[in-house]
Amino acid sequence: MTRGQTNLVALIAALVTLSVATGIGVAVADSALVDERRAADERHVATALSERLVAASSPLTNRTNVLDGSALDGLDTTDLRREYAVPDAYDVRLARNGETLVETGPARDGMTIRRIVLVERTQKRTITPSFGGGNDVSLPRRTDRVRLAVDPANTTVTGVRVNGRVVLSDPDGIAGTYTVPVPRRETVELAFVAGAALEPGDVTVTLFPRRTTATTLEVTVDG
Amino acid sequence: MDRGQLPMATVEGALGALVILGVVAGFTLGAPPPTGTGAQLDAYAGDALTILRDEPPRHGGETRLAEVTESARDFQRERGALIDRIERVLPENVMFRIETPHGTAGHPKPSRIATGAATVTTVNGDVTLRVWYA
Repeated sequence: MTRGQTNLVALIAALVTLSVATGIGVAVADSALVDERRAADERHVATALSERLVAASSPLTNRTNVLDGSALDGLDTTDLRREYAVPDAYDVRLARNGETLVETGPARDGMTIRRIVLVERTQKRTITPSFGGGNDVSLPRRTDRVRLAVDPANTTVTGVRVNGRVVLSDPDGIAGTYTVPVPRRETVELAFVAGAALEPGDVTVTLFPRRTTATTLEVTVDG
Repeated sequence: MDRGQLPMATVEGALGALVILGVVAGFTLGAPPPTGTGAQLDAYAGDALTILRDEPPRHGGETRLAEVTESARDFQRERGALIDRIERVLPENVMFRIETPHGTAGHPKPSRIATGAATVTTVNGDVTLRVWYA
C-alpha cells in the first residue's frame, strides 16, 4: 500500500515535469517562429523597396543605380508611400551614409538593406570661346546638352555642327539662345559656320556636366 | 523507496523532459539565425557591377567594362584605375575580387567566408565581381 502510493506521487510528479517541459518547448518554438516570420517579412519589404528605389524606372533615378540628387532632396514620406507602395503596417527609413533622408515613423530596429548608388547632380558651367584657331570649340567636360547663346557682332552664323553633324542651320543667320542635345559619352566639338572669323564674346556656351558621388543608400523597414 | 531507489516513473519523467528540452534547444541554438549577409553581399556586388557597366570609358570603347575586357593589354593598362574605382564605389568594410576574361584584380579571396557575387556579360566574355566583408 505504501509502495503503491509513492509510485502514484512519483508518476504525477513525472507527468507534471513532462507537461511543463512540453509547454516551454512549444512556447519557445512559437516565439522563434513569430520572430522569424516578422524578420522575413521585413527583409522582403526592405529588399523589394530597395530594388524599386534604384531601378531605372524609379522616379528617383536617372539610370539604374544612379539617383538624381535633386529628386532625392525633394523626396518626402507621402511620395515614398505612394510611388513605392510601402504597406502602411511598416515604418520605413531611408538614410544616406547614416544620415536620415526621410522616415515614415520611428524605424529604429528592423531590417536594413544597403544599396550602393551614385548620386548625380547637374552643374552649370558657362564658357566663352575665344576662337583663336578657327570657328570651333572643344567642350572641356562631358554633358548631355549645351545651351548656345549666339550673338555675333560683325558676321552671321548660318549653322552649328556637333562632331560634324549639323544641329542648327539657318541661311539667314542664327541669333539667340538654343538648347542642343549632344552625345553624352564622347568629347564634343562644336563647329560654327560663319561668314568670317568669330570674335570672343560672339558665342556663349553653357554646359551641364554631371557630378556623381558613390554613396550607400540604407533602407530600413520596421514592421 | 525503502531501499533508497527513486521511483521508475520519476526517472522516466525527468529523462523525457530532458529529451524534449534537448530537441527544442537543438532547434533554437543549432540553426543559425538567417542574417541576410549573403543577400546583402549579393546586392553590393550587383550594384557595383551595374555602376561599372554603365560608366563611360576612360579611353575607347562603349563602356568602361567593355574597355577593360577588350584585350590583355587594355586590362593591364586599366587595372589600377579599375581597382581604384571599385574601391571608391564599395563601402569601406567590403573587399572584392573582379574576374575578367583577361585576368583578375583585387584582393585574394579567403576561403570559408561568406561572399556575394554578380556576373555581367560583355561582348568579350563574362565579368564576375565577388565581395566579402573585411
